[in-house]
Amino acid sequence: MRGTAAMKVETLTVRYGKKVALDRVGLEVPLGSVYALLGRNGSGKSSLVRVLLGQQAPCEGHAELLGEPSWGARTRLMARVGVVPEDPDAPPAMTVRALEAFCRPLYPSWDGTSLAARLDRFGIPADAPFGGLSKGQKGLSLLALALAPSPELLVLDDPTLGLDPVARKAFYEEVIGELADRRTTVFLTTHDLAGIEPIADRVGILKEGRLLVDEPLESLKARFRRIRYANEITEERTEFGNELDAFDAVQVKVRGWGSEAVVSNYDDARFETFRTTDGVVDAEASPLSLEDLFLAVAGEGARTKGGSR
Amino acid sequence: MNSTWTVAAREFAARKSVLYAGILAALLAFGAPFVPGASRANPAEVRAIVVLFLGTSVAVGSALLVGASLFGPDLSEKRLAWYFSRPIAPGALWWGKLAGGFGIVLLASAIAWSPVPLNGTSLVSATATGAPALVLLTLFVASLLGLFLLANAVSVAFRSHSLWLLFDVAGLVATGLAIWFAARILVPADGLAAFATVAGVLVFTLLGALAVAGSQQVARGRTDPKAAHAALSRTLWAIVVSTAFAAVGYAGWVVSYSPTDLRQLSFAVGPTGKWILLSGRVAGRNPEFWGSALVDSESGRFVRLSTRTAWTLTFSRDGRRVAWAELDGMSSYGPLTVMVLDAASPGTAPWPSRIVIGKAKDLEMLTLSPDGSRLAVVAAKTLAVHDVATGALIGAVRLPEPTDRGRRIRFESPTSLFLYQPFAPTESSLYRFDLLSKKLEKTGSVRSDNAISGSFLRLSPAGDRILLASHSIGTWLLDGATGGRIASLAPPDESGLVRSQVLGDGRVAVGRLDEGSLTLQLFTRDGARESSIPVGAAKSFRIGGEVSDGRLLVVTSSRESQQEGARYARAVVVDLAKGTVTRVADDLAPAVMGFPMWIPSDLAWCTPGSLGTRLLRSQDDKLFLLDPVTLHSTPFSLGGR
Repeated sequence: MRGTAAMKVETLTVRYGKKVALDRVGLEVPLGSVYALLGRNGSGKSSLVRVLLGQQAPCEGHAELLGEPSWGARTRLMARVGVVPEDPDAPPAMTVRALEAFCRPLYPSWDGTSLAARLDRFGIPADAPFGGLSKGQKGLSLLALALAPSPELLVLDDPTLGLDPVARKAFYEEVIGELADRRTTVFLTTHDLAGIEPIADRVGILKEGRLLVDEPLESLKARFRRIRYANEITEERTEFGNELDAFDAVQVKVRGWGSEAVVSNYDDARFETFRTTDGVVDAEASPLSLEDLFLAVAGEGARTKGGSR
Repeated sequence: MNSTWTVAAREFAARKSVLYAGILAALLAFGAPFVPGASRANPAEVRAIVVLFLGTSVAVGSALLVGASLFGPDLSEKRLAWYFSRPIAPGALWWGKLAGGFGIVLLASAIAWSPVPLNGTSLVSATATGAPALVLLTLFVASLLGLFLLANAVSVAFRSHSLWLLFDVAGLVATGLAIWFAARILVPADGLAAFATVAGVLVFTLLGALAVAGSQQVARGRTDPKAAHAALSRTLWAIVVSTAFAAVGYAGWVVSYSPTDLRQLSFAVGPTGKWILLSGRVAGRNPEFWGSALVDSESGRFVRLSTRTAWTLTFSRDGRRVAWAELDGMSSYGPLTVMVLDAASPGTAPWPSRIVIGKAKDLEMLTLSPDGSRLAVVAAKTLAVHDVATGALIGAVRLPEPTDRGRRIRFESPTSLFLYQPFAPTESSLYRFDLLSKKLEKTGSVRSDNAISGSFLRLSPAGDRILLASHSIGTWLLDGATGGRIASLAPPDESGLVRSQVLGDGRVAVGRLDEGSLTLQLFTRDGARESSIPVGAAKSFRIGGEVSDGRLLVVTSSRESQQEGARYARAVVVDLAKGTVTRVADDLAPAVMGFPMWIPSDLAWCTPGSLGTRLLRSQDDKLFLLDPVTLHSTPFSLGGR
């Protein structure tokens, strides 16, 4: 394997006719990390996954998996990559046992024992047709099949979409277990921000085909804060609205009691200066959850494209 | 290979329900004779008929259904990612699905057809064709594969909802146009066999292109329906359209032969002049393709003629004009245009006259007047005379009886024609058509107690005599206007021991073989025997033309006439006045004599001393020209030939 990136894309552009699905996207997923790609529906996540998996050719740019080009080396790469798609796409008439029989000869390192154990743990009947399984069972059985060849990289395309809380919990426990056991690199797209927050190392946020954020979750959370404050008229202060100039405010809301802003370049010193500004009273800063952060960057009220540092 | 088989096995298993259709068809066929109302006299035949219908339906239906669902639905419903998320090469996916899907079609078809061998009947008799079973089976499987691949291509194309459909339409139109052009070139030129080759190559190219394009569809398009369609269309049409246009190039090459490419030659030469009609197999082309060319023997300039219509060619007696008919389209039911060549003018090109014959199949013959200014056309039981220069119709008359062969026309004068028309086994009629009064008048008839079969008819140069030779009636000299018999020159002959020739001055030479010895008898234009000249020992012979006035070319052979090579033998010139025989060459034959059969025999008569009387040929198509003075034969080239 070349380099230390499990995934790498550069200036990746995908267009469907005149519609730009991905606009010069570049990102890198370090080996052994858990990368969560977030974005609203239609933001380009699935297009990026298809290109990464070598299922679709990009219009411009290139994508690599485990140091090899995704398009050209797809067949070889897929022996090292486990995939759980957004829509369970296994042939509905095949039983899980038949699916295993189909997959087993394709992989050099197929672990039938661990697959059986997982299916048993999930309570999935091996002889039931795939089409007859519940949505949760389908997702879990595909995860079990994806993990059976002990992949170096796991690609999960919104895998918990439509799963009930029990299935979702089982799904993440399995992923976490895999991470703990083998330090498998995980790349996932999801809308389940609360579910992914405890395990993600790095986060990317796509909006309208452009990658607005791509950084470790820890630093992301450190530089984003919600600031609440009120303004007060003093003898020396005659102008309002410029008190946040020192911050990159991605969202500002005016409330009855004062103002609320989400800033993307928070640090303590800058906040202290702000807090002691003439006319700014009751200023307080609070950290954001991943969901709040996502809404601030990619939501309707986002003022800038400015997650980037 | 492993993943190919894995995919194939999965595809086969997923479609095993198709087998039930085959089983049901077979059961219905077995049970057919027991259905109330079915013939029980021959249950095997009933089963064969039911199998033919149901077996074909199952085969065609399953090929279309399985082919259409091979990739199209998975692509449009985004289920193909299941395969592309596994370490399966695109080639393994395509060929695996193809093998599995087509395998199930073949197995279902085999089950549906199984009552045929179990029934004791054969595949050939069941399909009521005479083709060998293996050929039939191969064609059937190839057709099914074609349908199967075509169904996949159509399904992928229509499910992509992309503008590549317009590209497909353009490819289809371009291919259709190319095929039409190829047909337009080959069919009128009698190149049906070559066109069949082109069509066969195109069909198998389409089959191969569909398979390769399908593979590209998977390799380049993968899970993207529009990209898959684009890859499929680009590959398919690149192969098919380029092959189709190559076929047009091939067609152009096939018909662009020169006289030097013609083999196994047949000749016709005008009564005078230097133009020769050649016909023969075209070297290097399809073995069944024959070409024809009208060649200026002095300059080598030539005009290609379709062998399909070269038989219509007519020379004017003065050798200054040639006319023939050419198909305007491809169909024998389409019109013909009369082409004219002013043969005496150097460098002249053939020009289309305004004389058009409505249906090619109706044309019986064309005859130019002696000076080439008028053309008699017999078509659709009508005799019409046109002015060649303007195409104007001068006169036309409905002919009394149809005839399919042996009709002769002679221009008596610019305003009257004689028509010799055999229409009954024992009676032939003579008519005069007067162009001024537009009346057809019967002037006489030829009657015989025996059927006039295998007849050979030749008019004397002045037209006042008819030489009629037949195996059944012998050799008769008839009056050119009334058909009245002037003399019987030889008795009936079934073995080809008697042959005759009209001389330039109206006399008749009759050769007779008697106990291995050939004698040439000379008769006056009134049928009186004038002299008898012994030519020598021979087992067969042929009489050529007069190499000069009163000197007749005769070829004698030591082989029986039906033996191979009999016509290429010792050529002698008989001086009819002196009674001398001069040996001039060995292993040669008169070039224009006796063949090809399709050339009207009056074309084979040449003015004494003209090119046609002196042209000899060897068995390997080499030409020699006899000098009328020295009687030496020298190699002869057709201009550049």
